[in-house]
Amino acid sequence: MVTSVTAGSQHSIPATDDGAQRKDNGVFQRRHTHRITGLVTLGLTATLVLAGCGRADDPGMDVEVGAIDSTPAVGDIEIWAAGDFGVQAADLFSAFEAVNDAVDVVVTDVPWTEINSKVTNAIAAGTVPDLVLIGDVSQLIPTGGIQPVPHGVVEDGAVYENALKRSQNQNGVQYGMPWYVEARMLWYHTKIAQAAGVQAPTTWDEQTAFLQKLGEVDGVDWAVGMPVGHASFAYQAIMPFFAQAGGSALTPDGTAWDLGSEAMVKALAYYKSFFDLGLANPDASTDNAVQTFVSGQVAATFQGSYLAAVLDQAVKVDGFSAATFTADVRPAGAVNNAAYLGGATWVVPTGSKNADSAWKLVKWLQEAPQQVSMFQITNNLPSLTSTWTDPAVATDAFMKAGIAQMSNTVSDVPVPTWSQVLAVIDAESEKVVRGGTTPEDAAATIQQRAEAIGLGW
Amino acid sequence: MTSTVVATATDRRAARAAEGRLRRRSPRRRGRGGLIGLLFALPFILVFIAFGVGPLLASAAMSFTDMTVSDIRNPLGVDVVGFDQFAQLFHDRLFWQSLGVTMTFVLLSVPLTLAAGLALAVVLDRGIRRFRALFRVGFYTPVITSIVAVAVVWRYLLQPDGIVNSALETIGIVGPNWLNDTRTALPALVAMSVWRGMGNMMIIFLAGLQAVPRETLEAASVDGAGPWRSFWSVTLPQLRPTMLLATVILTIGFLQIFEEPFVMTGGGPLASTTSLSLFVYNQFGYGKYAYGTAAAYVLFVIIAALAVLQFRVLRSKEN
Repeated sequence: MVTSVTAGSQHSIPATDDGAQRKDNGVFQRRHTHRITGLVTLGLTATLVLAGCGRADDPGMDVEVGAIDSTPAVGDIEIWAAGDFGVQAADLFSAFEAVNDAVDVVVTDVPWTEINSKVTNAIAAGTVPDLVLIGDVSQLIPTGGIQPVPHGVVEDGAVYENALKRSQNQNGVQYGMPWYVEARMLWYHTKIAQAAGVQAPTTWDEQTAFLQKLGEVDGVDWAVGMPVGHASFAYQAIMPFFAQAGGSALTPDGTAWDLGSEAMVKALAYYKSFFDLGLANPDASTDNAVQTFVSGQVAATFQGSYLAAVLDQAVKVDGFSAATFTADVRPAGAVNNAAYLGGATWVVPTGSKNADSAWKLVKWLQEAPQQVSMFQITNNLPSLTSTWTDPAVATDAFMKAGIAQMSNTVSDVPVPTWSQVLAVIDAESEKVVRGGTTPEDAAATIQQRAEAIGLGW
Repeated sequence: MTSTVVATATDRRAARAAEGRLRRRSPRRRGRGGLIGLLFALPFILVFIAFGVGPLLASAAMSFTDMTVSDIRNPLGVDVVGFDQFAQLFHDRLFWQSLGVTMTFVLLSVPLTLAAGLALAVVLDRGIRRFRALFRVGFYTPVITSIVAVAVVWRYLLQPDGIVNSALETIGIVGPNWLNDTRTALPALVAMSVWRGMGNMMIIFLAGLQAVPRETLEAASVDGAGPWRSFWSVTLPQLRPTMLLATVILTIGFLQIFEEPFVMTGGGPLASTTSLSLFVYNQFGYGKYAYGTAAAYVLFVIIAALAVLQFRVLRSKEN
């Protein structure tokens, strides 16, 4: 016990001090006992809880696929839609309600960055909606929280195959129905290309020469916008180059990663060349990627058809026509000209109280007239391939290139661990640009880390 | 010196007298008073157990299993793997990197924020007479602004062609690429956090400075001490409890730094600003719940250990 007393107070305190000390020790011992009892109780509780844990022997993912009939939909359908298309497409859902009297559709828009965690939370809590429009489906499949698509929703072969593959499990069972698709094309300023006197490129070498000429035009700071690092989703730039060079993320039987091949080395080297040649800004931020493209500081960019709607808003003052910007299919690498495929997919959570009607709504949305309406409202390419020849869709100035690009696309790898592996690709490609790693070493590291992570099935 | 010891002795005597009065109350009345108090506190206790202690215990238990996102519909259907997650963590290069980033950040930010807050408090306490309230509000405002809004604005300011670099150009310095250079990204975050945190420290130290008795300082100046000497030898030791409070609060807060790297750099460039909290967040994003929880509890142990250390070092010697 510390006793910092001086002569002034010594004579009046000591006796009480000893008494206080004894009392303090008693209190301390009582508190000590309480603390030990508390800790033991906690420890026992924790042990009991953990003793109740244990994985059951896995009976295998035996999935029952149902079917829907032709009776009309009934009841309330609660929808969570990623992006802001739910609100935009309100008229479409009202039309469904008009056709089916007993149905009430309620749509909530959820930001893209939030939709996966929101759905995961709902699955864990059991408070799932009836229908969800989402991007990444693969991580949800092993949870058992979403239902397989029943027979009768769409005809075989009617929907774009690559988009369907995004929401299949390792045995090909379909868990989601793609609503719209988009591929990242090459966009550039028409006038700048004319000033540079160049034609649209069709090969990697032509693309480099094309961009170099674009960059030399007055007023252009950077020839093209290229993402770098995890914050900018660099893998969306790497994977197309990888596919164009003939690479495939998985082995042919789909049981292992194959990301360290020569194709990855070529892709990384080509990606690096954009920065070495001064064609792309390594420090560009995604915040103003569209802004710098519209203003002409950046002459070209890789974006999807959604850019058309964005450009429309951004250039309202100057007017906006097909003459200002050109969208083109991507130049080909050694093997093909695959572009990164995006889009949104409908899924129905397990435990939805109105799953039957939800699937009937999806079936209705996938019919040609509704798909064309969706295109007209949101300017996204429908997933129903028969609409691609519909005049309303095919004559759109930017859709021509978008539709042509559909013959060659590469999407996110449909495995549960993809979000981890793409982070590795982002990190290693950033090291190639900023850290001085060679493409060979980076490709080897990507394969090594991907193997350690596994597929997740 | 004498006056403070006398003051403390008087306090002790008063405290002892109050204790005596308490002991003299009848035990039965004290017991019933305790029960009524417990009943009043019961709603809070129940809510706290349900939403505070419960999740805490559940997550601690989770870190000893192999739970991933696939198990969310059946959380008890996981295997208990003991310390495997922790062992895996200690083999993870990214974990060690984020730990290093967090410790570097704390070692830089805490002293700087303390110094800035203390300097502001001293100036506002004695130096500035006019518009004191205006200065207090002005320096405190960064604390109450939304961190996301602040981070977005700072990100624009720190762009290679942003205002900060333009200002530096006018005095002839070529500013670096603050947020994309691995050498300057973390210092930039440190600077922003210091700017945001010093208002809080200023308020705490202002309160602490009010408690320094004027007589002591007058006695010191009578003895011939200059302003710096009296600050160092008289004011600072009096501020020990305040310093302890400020240091512990700051360290606990900065060890869990998340929003600044998340919004400003996304953890880059090359993971040089990925703090441990951001690492945990990423693991949860991949669905590796047990792994992320294990990392979070390692952080918890570090925070607790540092807090205990700070209590021991900065504990008031008069206790």
